Amino acid sequence: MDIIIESFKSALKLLISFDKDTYDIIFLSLRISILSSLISSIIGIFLAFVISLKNFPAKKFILTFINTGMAMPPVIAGLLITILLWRNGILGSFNLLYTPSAIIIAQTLLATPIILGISVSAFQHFPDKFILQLLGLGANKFHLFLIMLKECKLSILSAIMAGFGAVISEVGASLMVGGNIKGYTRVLTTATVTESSKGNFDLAIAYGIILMFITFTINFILTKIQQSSTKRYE
Amino acid sequence: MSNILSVKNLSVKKSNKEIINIEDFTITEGSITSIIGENGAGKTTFILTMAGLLKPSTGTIFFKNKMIKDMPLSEYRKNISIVFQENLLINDTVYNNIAMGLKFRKFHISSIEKKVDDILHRFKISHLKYQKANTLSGGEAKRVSIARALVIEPQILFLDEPFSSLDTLSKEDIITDMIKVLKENKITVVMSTHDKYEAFRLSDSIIVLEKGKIIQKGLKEEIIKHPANSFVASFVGVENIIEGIIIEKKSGSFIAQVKNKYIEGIGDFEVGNKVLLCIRPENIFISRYLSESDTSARNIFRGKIIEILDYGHFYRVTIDCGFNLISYITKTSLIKLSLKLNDIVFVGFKAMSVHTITMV
Repeated sequence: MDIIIESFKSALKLLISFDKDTYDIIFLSLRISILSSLISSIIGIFLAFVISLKNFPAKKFILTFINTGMAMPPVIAGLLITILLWRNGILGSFNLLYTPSAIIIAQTLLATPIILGISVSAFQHFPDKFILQLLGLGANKFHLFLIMLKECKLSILSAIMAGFGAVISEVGASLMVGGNIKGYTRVLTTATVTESSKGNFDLAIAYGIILMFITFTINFILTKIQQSSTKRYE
Repeated sequence: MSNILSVKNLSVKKSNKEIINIEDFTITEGSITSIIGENGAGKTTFILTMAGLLKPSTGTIFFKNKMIKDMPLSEYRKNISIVFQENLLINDTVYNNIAMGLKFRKFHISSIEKKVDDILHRFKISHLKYQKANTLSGGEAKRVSIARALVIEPQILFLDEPFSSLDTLSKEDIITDMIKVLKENKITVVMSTHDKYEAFRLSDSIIVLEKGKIIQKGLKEEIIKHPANSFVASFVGVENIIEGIIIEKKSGSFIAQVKNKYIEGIGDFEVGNKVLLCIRPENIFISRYLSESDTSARNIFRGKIIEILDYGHFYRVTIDCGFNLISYITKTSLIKLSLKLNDIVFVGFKAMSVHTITMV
């Protein structure tokens, strides 16, 4: 119990004293996870719209593939990106391995199937007749996308929250492609692992608490937006 | 009046099953056409195909003599509008729901405001302008969905069983307001319906669909007088549809046997033909005492009253004369004849009141 109280005190101290290392880690974590969630959201939601509206022979196979991707372990995403960015890899010439950009790519790979999978399900639940009604009123594909996005706001925001939750909390991919370089690629999760392995439990728990606080704050904002929507009239 | 929409050799298949097969069908500009048919007859599929919302398997649709497959579908759809049974309103204000089609057509904001205000006024829902759609009653939401379809002043309005979920009073109110806008803007309407009241109240002409094919089309008066089959007969209010067999052919008339009774009708039918004899209930009279010599009606039967239902303005009386006959009589007649259940009465109708359909 003492260790938890002490860690709370340490966490508060780190925050109040504007500890540079801590704030660097917080801002890097936020920057990487928000950016990767944003890129995943753009790719995932757009692809979800296309997949849900189109009927093609491989649709079921693709959906199974996406659903499998939703459960992809972070180390697998890390491994794939490491191979791609490795010196002799396909994208090796960009020298991105062990950079924040590498973590963003790996986290995007991790979050995209989650956001895509939940968004496909949301769009597929949008009534077919509603789509016909909108087309019958003169809507084009872009109008349709905007209206469906707005009408499915509840589920789409859940998808974004799930995607953000997965990337802010993952450690495997960030460690593998980022290298946990202090002041450069060290994020809250890898910092927690490092301090924990060094036996600095108070600092590890302090990072953990900060991580939870950030996750709670972002989810609180998204939930607030999500719950402002009400039931549609059918 | 010129043709606004016509279809030629139209076929729509779903999972290799033919849902629609229509050789030739034309809609005149400014007319109101009702499509009637039993569940699964293909009414909605036909409406969606004509509205350019469902691709036909084969065949051609012409809009003002131009093939719609030769123009971008979005261009064709700008000329039409559709209202479904469900109101399908977005989770927004009434104003934004009605303005939707105008925004899709890139109308200027001031023009949108003017048009929406005008249609809100015409449909008596100006007070709901800023109300959220999900707080509306069923009747209000239906007004919004129809106003939304009409505000864009479409050339053709498709209605797919639009009033099914409404009570009679709300329906009448909405239809009255809608007709005014339709007539003023000379909008062509194609409507599918289950309700004969809607079909008769609104339409100039009626088409009857059965298993995806048009089995009858014509002005509503023709359809009422000469229904093509038992469904149409029942739809247009013929409550007495009796199965019989022609046993005697005379010049221009016939005698059909129904169980152990005989009904005389008008028309040329061959002996042995199985027929449906349709008699409208308002054409059947009831009498306490009667014989064939007292009346010009060729069909007189003795029977027992087995049911009397109060329909408000009139009574629906069912008489068992070996087969059931339904007659509509006024309250005055019911009182004057002191009719009650189990009374033995005479019922009669003229041979000319029998509309006969040959059974296939």
